[in-house]
Amino acid sequence: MISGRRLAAAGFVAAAATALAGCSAVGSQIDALAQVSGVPVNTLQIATETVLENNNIKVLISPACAQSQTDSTKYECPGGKTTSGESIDVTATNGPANTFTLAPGGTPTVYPAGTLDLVMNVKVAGKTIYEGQAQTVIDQSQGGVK
Amino acid sequence: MEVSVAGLTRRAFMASTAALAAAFAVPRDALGAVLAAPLKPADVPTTLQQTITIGAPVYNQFRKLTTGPGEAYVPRYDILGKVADPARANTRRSLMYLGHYTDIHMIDAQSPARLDVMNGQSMSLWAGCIHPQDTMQMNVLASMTAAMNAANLSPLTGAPMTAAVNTGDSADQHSQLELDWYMGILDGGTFTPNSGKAGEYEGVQLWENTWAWHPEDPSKDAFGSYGFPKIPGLLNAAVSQTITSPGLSVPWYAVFGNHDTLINGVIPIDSGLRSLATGDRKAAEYPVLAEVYLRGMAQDGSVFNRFTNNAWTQHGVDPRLMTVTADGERKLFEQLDFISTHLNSPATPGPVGHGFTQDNLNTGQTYWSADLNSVFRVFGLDTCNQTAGADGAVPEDQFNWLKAGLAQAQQDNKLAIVLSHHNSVTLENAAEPVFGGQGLIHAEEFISMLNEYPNMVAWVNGHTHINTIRPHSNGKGGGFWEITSASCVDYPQQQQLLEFIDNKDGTMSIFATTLDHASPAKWTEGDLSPEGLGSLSRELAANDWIENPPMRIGSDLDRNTELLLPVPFDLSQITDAQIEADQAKSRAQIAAFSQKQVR
Repeated sequence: MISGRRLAAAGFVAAAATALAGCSAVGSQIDALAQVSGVPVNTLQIATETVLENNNIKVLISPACAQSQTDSTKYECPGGKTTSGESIDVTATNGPANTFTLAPGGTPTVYPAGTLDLVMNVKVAGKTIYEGQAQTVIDQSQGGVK
Repeated sequence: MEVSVAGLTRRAFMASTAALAAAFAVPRDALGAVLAAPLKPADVPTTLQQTITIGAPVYNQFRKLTTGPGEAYVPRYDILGKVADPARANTRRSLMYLGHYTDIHMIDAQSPARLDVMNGQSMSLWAGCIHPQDTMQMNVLASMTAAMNAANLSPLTGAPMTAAVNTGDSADQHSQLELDWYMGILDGGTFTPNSGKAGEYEGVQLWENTWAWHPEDPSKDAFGSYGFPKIPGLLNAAVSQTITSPGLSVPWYAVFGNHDTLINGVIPIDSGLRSLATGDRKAAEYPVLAEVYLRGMAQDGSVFNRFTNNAWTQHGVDPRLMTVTADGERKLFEQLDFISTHLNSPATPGPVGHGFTQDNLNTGQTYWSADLNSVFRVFGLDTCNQTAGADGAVPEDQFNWLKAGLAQAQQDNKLAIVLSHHNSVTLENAAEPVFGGQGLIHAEEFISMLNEYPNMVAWVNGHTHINTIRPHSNGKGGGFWEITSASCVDYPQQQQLLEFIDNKDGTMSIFATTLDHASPAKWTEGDLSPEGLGSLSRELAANDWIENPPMRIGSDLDRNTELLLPVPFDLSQITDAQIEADQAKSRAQIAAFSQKQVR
């Protein structure tokens, strides 16, 4: 049974629907929701420093990671130097946004591009000491994969 | 010739002791004994002694926490550009020792204005609106404050903590209750983290089909699939407990965070949401909250949909709104309320206002400066954007104020520290109001300006909930360190200790030490005591996969570190007597706190 209050509201809604017929839809305001940025840069910076530590590289100047100004899918970490004067060079490329699905039958989680699919290359004195996912380095430093 | 006690003459020492004993109401003899004792590294529980790590790897499965060995300090030479002389360890003198809180995120988990259902729309877009551990946030802050108090003497030098600083995001969802709770834990008091119905949890973690961990029965939710445990009675236990905090043993200072400025740190608050906060309806599904109360922030937010939803809601018949117990204390605060609440704080631990002054309240200026001791001047900025968005910027008037302040500090031979919520990778928010905006300064220009002042040694901040340390060299052999701490809410739930050292060899060092809260590293099944809930909170946070927990602890270069700098001016101008007088005041305040605990 529908209460009188609910019935009145339903009538109000129907009238409003008629009045609004033909109105164009308002666009999404999702774009206005700017969340905390910098996750890929931080991920890369942490993974870089962890790779250096894992390889017992003595760091004089840690390479400073930043997004490329010409290609938003690319990252570079210039300026790195070991205590013995060798250069440390890091580059990385974003993959697409990642969907991480819980098993079995869980809810998919979409991670922003570059958080779980950021492939990095770390070179010391021109020699590659790591090439692979940044997130893998971080996960392994904390007891293994997620 | 008078016998000297460290840097002070005996006469000066006696006079100082008498004055401090009177000021802090501590027996003179007892204080005299404390002050006469030489400083020595304190045996305090920090990550130098023991770390907490995520346990054995099992793909997509809930993991327990375990303990690991302590982490020694790693020296960082990025700004110095050369390896420092190891002999500096023999000549150190402490200039100041600070505690650093950030991103406390005190949570009223049952507030109808909490955006906890929005994760149903997008977990990445609305990350942080809900966590499995939401009902236990007061436990974490109380436990962190216990850890901070336990470490109020430096593990490196034994120097007393001068003060603690809090770099924002104190109230998670802009609730006055959250603001009162956070301040109450730091100032001291007894609280129950509950609103609405006494002793009974009402909210999304209990209701069916909400996107949340349901501890009563997680078998039907995503968290249950992941392996989150079934803990019957947890929610009611969390909102029924009594938490007593002695408060901090030292004065503390605070700045605004984006969560203290906008709802969920990103959206301006409108009247609909204000009414919802104190009313008896709470959304169980995201569309009603998004379309009706969040200015149409729904993917299908057409005019028609919003109009009809408004109509249903205004007539109180929307089935997506659950009935809860109304509570007027859940009101959403205004910007000036944040300042006035800080000004309503007690004299101890102080300072009244925690950096904010009556002038801030009168003028609406949301930033401040203060001298923490005779050596350091700190600038508490408000980098939050009041228009929209989580990230920040420095408004032009504040930028100019800071520039003048740094110049004056340099003239006064003060070392300078800048506090802000946002850090250098999150200072790019360009949102401005339609009318009345002013220029916004972003990271590159801000860093460049800070580097014009050699006495500017540290920029201390938060926001990203990640332990991160960045050097900012000025290209001329100097620069400053940017030190970002993890949060109290996300794993690893760590904060920081910062000690500023004169190495007496032309360099100075900032020692950063990460600090775990005092709850046990491993949660014991069934332990719903206040300490147990703090422990459980950390374990749940470590498994909240949406937040990428392993990343947030940072690298070894972001945690226990010695950050070297060339001295910005001849630090021998700072006399031992001057430092001793500063430390005596801090030791007296800590002695007064300890005496109060014994009573």
